[in-house]
Amino acid sequence: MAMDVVDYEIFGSEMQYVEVELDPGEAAIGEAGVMMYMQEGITMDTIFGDGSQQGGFFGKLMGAGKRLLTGEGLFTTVFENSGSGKQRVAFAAPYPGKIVPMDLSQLGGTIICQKDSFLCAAKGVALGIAFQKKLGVGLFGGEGFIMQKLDGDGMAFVHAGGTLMERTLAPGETLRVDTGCVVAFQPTVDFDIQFVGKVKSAIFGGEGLFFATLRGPGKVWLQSLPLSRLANRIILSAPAAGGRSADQGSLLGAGVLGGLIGGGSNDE
Amino acid sequence: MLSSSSEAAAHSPFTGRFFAPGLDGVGVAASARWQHGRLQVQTAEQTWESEPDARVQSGGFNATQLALVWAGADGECRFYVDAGASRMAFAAGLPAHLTPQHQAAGNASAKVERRFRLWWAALALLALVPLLALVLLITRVDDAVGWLVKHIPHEQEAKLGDLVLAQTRAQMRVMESGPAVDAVRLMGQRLTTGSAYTYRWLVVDKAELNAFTAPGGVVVVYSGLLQAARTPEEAAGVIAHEVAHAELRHGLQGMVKALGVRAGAAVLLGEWSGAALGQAMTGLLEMKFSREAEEAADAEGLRRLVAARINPAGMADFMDTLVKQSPGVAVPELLSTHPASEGRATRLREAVKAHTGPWDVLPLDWVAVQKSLSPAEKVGSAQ
Repeated sequence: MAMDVVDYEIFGSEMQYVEVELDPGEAAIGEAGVMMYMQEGITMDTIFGDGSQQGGFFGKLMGAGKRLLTGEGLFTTVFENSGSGKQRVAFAAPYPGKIVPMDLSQLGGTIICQKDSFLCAAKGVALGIAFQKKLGVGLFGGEGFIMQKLDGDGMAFVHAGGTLMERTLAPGETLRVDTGCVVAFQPTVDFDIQFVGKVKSAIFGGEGLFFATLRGPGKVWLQSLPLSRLANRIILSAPAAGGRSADQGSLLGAGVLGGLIGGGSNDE
Repeated sequence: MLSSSSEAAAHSPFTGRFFAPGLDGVGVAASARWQHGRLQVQTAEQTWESEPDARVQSGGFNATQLALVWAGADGECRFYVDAGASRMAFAAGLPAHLTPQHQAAGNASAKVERRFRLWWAALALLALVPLLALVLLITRVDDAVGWLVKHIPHEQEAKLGDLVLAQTRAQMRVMESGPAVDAVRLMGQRLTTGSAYTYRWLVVDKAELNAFTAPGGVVVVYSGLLQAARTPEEAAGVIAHEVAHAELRHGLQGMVKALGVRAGAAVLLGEWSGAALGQAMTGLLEMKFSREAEEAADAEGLRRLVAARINPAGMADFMDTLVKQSPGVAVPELLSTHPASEGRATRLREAVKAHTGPWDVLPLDWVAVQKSLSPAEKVGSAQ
């Protein structure tokens, strides 16, 4: 599969955007609604699926169905340079954080990432769905259950909320992470959602009942501020919103028991 | 899948990702091949060789990764085999002593897959529970009701009857005494000897061809019915039929069913109405007995008539009277709650023929009984 090679530049510090340079005929795909600006020669097209499927209509349908599961749109926007000379298109991060450039060819061709974190990629990168199958009780963990899989050997950009932490784990090295804080990891990393088993801390402490255990070898990307936490804080301090706190990973906020107890957990 | 363990056999190379001390932490693309029971790993810069104590293990996301792990001089080395053809080549050259580990690794990822499916199935089932319960409620309601009714003591049933009785007294003019009440009681008592219930016999002053039973042995006969019956045996036939309903606990079953269905529906559909009990009781008055219950009551009523030496022909005659109601006349109430049909009348007639008596003459002055009733406008005439 011919990948489009893209040059890019990331601007900003806390609220970033990435500017991608496309040669004539090259294209990038972007999550709906993240495009910021584009130069004259770039044409925008909305396609069904992610543009990577070589299969027929049925293959496209499958890909689209999977995208629907991850909560993304059925359609992807393709930005193609149909002019002459290099042209630029920029994609902006939707909330404070860092944009992580990933060269899939350097990383072994596959990356598993949190389902909302994908920003944009070179055309040819396939967006798939990856369920966390080692569930057990992790089913109630909320985040980290439905993940996204990026396949290909081009550039892909994902977005991490807050401050980014990149960590390369040695073989067997483990890291315990709040499920919401996982942005991405290589498929060689063993990702397990575990029940912490301290209901008291989940109810009164607001920490999640579930932790993700990441075991090397491979690279992991973590975010300091999952969007859910940010949203939670905003809703809690917005009297007009009147929303329920939705604490990731805690039974009270995950909507499982939220209606029963009103989800009054504080998130810290 | 054992290789021909000729050690010198050159095995085909395969690709994967290699993690070793000094290499990039994200791993490097490498190719490898089995040679003399050891793995030769070729990266862009150098060649590595696995140790004899290398082991096969599964790992990574969803246990989908297959790796050969060994302790190198400077630290652990791992070769993760790419999926697809590379796995086949890896398995083909695998030293015999590693085969069990290789199988265990395959089982591990299969187990993850299996458990995941199980979870999904459980989740789907959970989502289907209300739906299943509803289907069960609709299809198995009779069995459930039968089981429940079996466990309700007669005294409790009688209490329910009292409630209906009170309601009847409040809504209709109940005749507490008189020749008609005496006649109904006399016939009823002959039909209910040795019953577990204490029967209460009521006649209500209403010009309707009707009678009904409430749980616990409350039998209510309308004066209109007594007027329409040409002989005491005809009235006795209806009473026997009602008694049969009481003895077979049809009223209770209907009530439990109505309540159960409503309550079940309320629980399942989340629309609990506190009026369910009241509705069940008022609903009892116009309870639509199922055809089955009617036929069972016919048979049981007939059996009781014969046992009481009352000529059952009256029962069939009265049925004919009901069925042959000329059209254009208001359908008698007894017909709408006790669905009569040609078939039912014929069946009853056949069943009656089998019994030849001798029959007792009921010690009733039927003319006097009918006279004692308020001279109601002739039943069936336009009102």
